[in-house]
Amino acid sequence: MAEPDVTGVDLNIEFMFAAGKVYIPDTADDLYQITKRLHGYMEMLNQQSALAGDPAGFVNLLTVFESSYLVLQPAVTTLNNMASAVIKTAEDFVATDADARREFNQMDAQVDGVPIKQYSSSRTPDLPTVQEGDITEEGSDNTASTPDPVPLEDDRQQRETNETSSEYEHEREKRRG
Amino acid sequence: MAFDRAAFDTALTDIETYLGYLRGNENAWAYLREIQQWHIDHQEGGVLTVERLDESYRFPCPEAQYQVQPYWTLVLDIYIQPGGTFDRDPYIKAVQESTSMAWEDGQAWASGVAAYCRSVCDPFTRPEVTMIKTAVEGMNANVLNQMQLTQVNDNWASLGNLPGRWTGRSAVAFSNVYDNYNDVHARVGRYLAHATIGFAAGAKIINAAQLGAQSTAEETVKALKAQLANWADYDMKPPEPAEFPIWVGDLLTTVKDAFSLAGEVPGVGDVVDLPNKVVSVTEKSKTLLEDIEKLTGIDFLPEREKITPKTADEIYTEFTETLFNQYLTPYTDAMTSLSGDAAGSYSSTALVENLNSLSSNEWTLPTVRDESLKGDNDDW
Repeated sequence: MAEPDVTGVDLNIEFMFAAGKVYIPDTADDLYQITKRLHGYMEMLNQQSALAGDPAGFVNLLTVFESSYLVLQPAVTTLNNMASAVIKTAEDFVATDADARREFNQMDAQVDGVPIKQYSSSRTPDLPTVQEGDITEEGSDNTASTPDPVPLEDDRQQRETNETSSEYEHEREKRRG
Repeated sequence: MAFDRAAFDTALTDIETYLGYLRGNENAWAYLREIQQWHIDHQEGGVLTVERLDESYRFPCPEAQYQVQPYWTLVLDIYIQPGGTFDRDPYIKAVQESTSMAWEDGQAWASGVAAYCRSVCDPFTRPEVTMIKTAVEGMNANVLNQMQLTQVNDNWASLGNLPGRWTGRSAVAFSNVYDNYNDVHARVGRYLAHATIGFAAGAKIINAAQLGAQSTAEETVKALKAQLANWADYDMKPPEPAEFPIWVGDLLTTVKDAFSLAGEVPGVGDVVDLPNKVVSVTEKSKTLLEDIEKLTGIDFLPEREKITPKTADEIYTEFTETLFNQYLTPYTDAMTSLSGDAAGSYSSTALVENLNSLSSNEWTLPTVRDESLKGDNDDW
């Protein structure tokens, strides 16, 4: 994302508007993009871990992914709330404090040539919800965990059973007799 | 060479088929030798007549080049007792029918071998290395590098000390996030980078196990074909097995190599918020992925040993034990811990322990409500 050109910020009220309309929303957008992609890659790796039988090593790594997502996903909401909160705070001061109102009326800060009062920042859509354990439990949404194979001895036994119970063997025994 | 799931599947199916043929040959030949011996043991002063099976009779292998023709190699010394009669044609026909049935027992014996071998290899053949690789590359380019690029400094929204002057309900949480966001962001990036490299190491191990098992399976098919051709050449149980040693790769060496490339995870309590570290860690996972690309032929794994089995049972035993003990077990061991033994090597367990040791303000950010931060008595 191109950095917006913010000019003319020298009053506290302008710092608050710049933070609420530009700096914090931009940070929230960056984090949203990162978090959305993280979710996608985490899902891919979760599926591959299920195919691999969810070995403990991969589950450890998915624990780090899940835990990271559980930090970042609410952080996106928090950053967006912070952007909105700082604007509401500025407006609150403008409504209740004569000095703040005077600063507001003097505001000449601009973002890419747009007066900062009129500048609207972008908002972000929701991110997928993940509960703790969703990613680290066995399997993934659409893939069952690959089971461990049965021991060698069981299959060896199966070979013998196959041979001795075959129709041919019965017939052969009969002929021998 | 990349792992070829279809080729691996075909090799396992062929192994079952050819093990069935070989076991069939062994059963049929053993049956004929039993009959031969029975007549030798029942001479009792009879008159000898030497018989052979029909010249047209062959073991009923569906592939003509592997058919065994015992006419050339087996004689029956049949002793006819005084006063007794011997009707050659129905007797030889009955022996041939029983020989064919004994041969078919071999097919029953081998039935299910391919499915079993598939199940042994499923934990490393079901995952798709290309998908893990795509996810690791995506993490590096689109998550970790982006986290690096969007790393913010202190006072990242140019609010200076303004937040400290507000006392509304969410003001403390706001200040907390404002002060800690850059540290938590960098820390998450660093942990994700270390976890991503673990998947890269896992992909390298899976790739090696897949290629190793495929090569061993394909060599086993060749060894079986060589044994079957040997039987067909001799038209009997061959005096010597065909020399066709089966290649087995050394997965453990690859495992050690992967963990040493992945590098050490910072110890519990180490500072992990240095932004430039994310780049140095993603570079390591690139090296691991390039390693996967470079693998060709069977040079990808050092040779562990060659095995020269002879009978169907020996080939079955060697092959299944190799899959289990030389591929599945080292693979499972490696993937269970995802850690190397050597000092300075990677450990997924250490990574999680390290994560769990973080305090809540090092790893989480408080929730900030969407409301004014101005307290009732806050002055401008």
